[in-house]
Amino acid sequence: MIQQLINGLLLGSTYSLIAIGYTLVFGVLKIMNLAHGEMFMIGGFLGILMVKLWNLPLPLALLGATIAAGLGGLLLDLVCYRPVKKTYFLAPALSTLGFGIVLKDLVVNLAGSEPQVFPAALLMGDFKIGPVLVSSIQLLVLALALALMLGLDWLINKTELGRSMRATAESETTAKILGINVNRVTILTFVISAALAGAAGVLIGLRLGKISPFIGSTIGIKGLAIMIIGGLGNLRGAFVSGILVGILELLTSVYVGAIYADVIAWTLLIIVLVMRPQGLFGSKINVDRV
Amino acid sequence: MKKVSYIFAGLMVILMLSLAGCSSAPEKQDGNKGTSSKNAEPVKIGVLTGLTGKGADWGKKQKVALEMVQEEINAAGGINGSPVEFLINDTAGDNQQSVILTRRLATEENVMAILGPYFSGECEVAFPQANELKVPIISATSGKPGISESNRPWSFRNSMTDDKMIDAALPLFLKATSAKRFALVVDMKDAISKSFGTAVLPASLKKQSGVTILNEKEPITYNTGDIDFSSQVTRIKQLKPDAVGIGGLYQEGASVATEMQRQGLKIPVIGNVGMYAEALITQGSSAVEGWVALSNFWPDSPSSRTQDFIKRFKDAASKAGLENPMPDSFAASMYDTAMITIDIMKREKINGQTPVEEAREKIKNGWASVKDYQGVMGMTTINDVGDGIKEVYSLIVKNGKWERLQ
Repeated sequence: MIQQLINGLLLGSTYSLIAIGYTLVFGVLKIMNLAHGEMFMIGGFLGILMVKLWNLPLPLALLGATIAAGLGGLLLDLVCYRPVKKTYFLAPALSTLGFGIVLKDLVVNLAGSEPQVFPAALLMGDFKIGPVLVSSIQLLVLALALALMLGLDWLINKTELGRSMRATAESETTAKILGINVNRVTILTFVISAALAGAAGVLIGLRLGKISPFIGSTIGIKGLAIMIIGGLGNLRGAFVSGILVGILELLTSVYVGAIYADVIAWTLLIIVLVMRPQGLFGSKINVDRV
Repeated sequence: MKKVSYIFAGLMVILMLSLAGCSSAPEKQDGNKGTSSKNAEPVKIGVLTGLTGKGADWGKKQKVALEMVQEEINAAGGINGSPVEFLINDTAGDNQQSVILTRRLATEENVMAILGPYFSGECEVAFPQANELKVPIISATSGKPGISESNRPWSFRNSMTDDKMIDAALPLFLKATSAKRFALVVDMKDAISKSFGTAVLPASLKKQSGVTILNEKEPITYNTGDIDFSSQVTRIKQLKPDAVGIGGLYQEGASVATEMQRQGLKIPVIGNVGMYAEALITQGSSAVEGWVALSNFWPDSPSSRTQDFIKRFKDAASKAGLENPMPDSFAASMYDTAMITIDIMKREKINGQTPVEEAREKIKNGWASVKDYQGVMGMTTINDVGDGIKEVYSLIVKNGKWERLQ
């Protein structure tokens, strides 16, 4: 039982990490970045490639994948956000969705549809607390998700960049009039979010031992649901509801059957939308639009 | 105005991309090029397999096998003067696509026969379509019992159902491992895996003496495409089995193995036909050591026919750019399936001019009476419910290689 809760907690931290990336973009730009899952997949793939082809040590590969994914975020901003009309809120969602499909098909065509495997030597060991087995890499993911939640919270609420981000979120036009470089804010938002996704991809690839080109679609969509459950644009909400969904999923898979595990995130989503549309932990964004 | 047209153009691009992303466009194999019979109407045979999605590793190899057949047959003058043309369609392992593509091949492309689809789940929905449209449909791979039987007379499977295979393999497994206490693990989203793990394997285990199944009523479950198997393996450990029986496909199988290794569970595992793939070893490496799977094809078979096939396949697959050019059971089965079909056509004097209904009828009758066909897999006979009877090999991963368990 305790082992299963730990398993769930660690699975949940994966979800949290992804939901936080979605939340950052949504909180600042009020758009759904539907390419986020694919950024995550690209990060994992690049991490594996760097290790396998160029024999880079792991920390360097992690850094490289983070930077590369960050550049991907820059491209995403230039191609899918900047030229698209923002008043029609579906447009950026569609353009990012398209960007994600291009990334996925690119990877499938270049590397094949089979998962890429991390060299076994790199997989980090686990340790035991009494009879309970804990994955060290997964613990790292949990710590990273927690640190990101706190760090980004601080960034947005306490720094000057954060103030510009919040101003942009409030009203792009007003922010421009007040002398805020809105372009810089959106670029930074996309780059930070994509870079985080890239790092997450490598870490989760390490935990699973392999990354499939389709992982972005499965985990990515779930991350989106988790963001809404936690409350749009609410970083703490994203973190907590990620963990919650992870634990609930595992308990369902253990006591009811795996076939129902996938239902959890979506059932929770419906319940939250009906009973508490602002999300479990509230949203700073006007709720009537959701 | 300019902005609006930008957006419109952007949306069109996205639309096109998303269509390209999920389409399964047919890949036409031009049978006319470079053959001796240039002007003759080609004999069209439809093929359903997965070139993307969950079985892509197998489907791509089937495609190579079909290209080999096409080249060989057309170089030798085709089928009674007509070149053969395979219309290879990608189902992506998706049941819905199989239905749509079966109907399309039968009614729009007017093929004389359909080879495929790949998975049992697909066959369950595609076979009734073919039966209704009166077109012979022959799966080279599906192994769940009963599917051809309930779709007589147009459906066949050039594969052995796994109940017959596990009955032959289980005694070998028990002898090699002296396992007594089995835990069952099942992929609930894949038809053959589900039937194997919840029905076929338990039934076969009960025929053996001294074997107990620890969780027959409540098998440990997961879904195709899952990535985290920590809870499943934790539950296996709680049952304290000395062997695991798993109904699943190789991709998840490799992940289960890795997780078992992580949680320190080292016991023998027996899977079914879905577990036999080279990719199980590339993805699972040392964790799949000692895993047993079932197959009707054994690459190290001393048969010269098999060895010759492997040699030619490796050349073709390397040319096609496959990372691992080794043929698997399913590529060999597709090769034989195509060859048997062409054999029947040659015998029945079918060529490109034969009316489609007549050709379909003759091919159906021909398949119903296949007996002791000597192919690259060994002997094949089709039984009275349309399923294949073949040789069974239990294969075990030893030192990172599939070896025969005897």
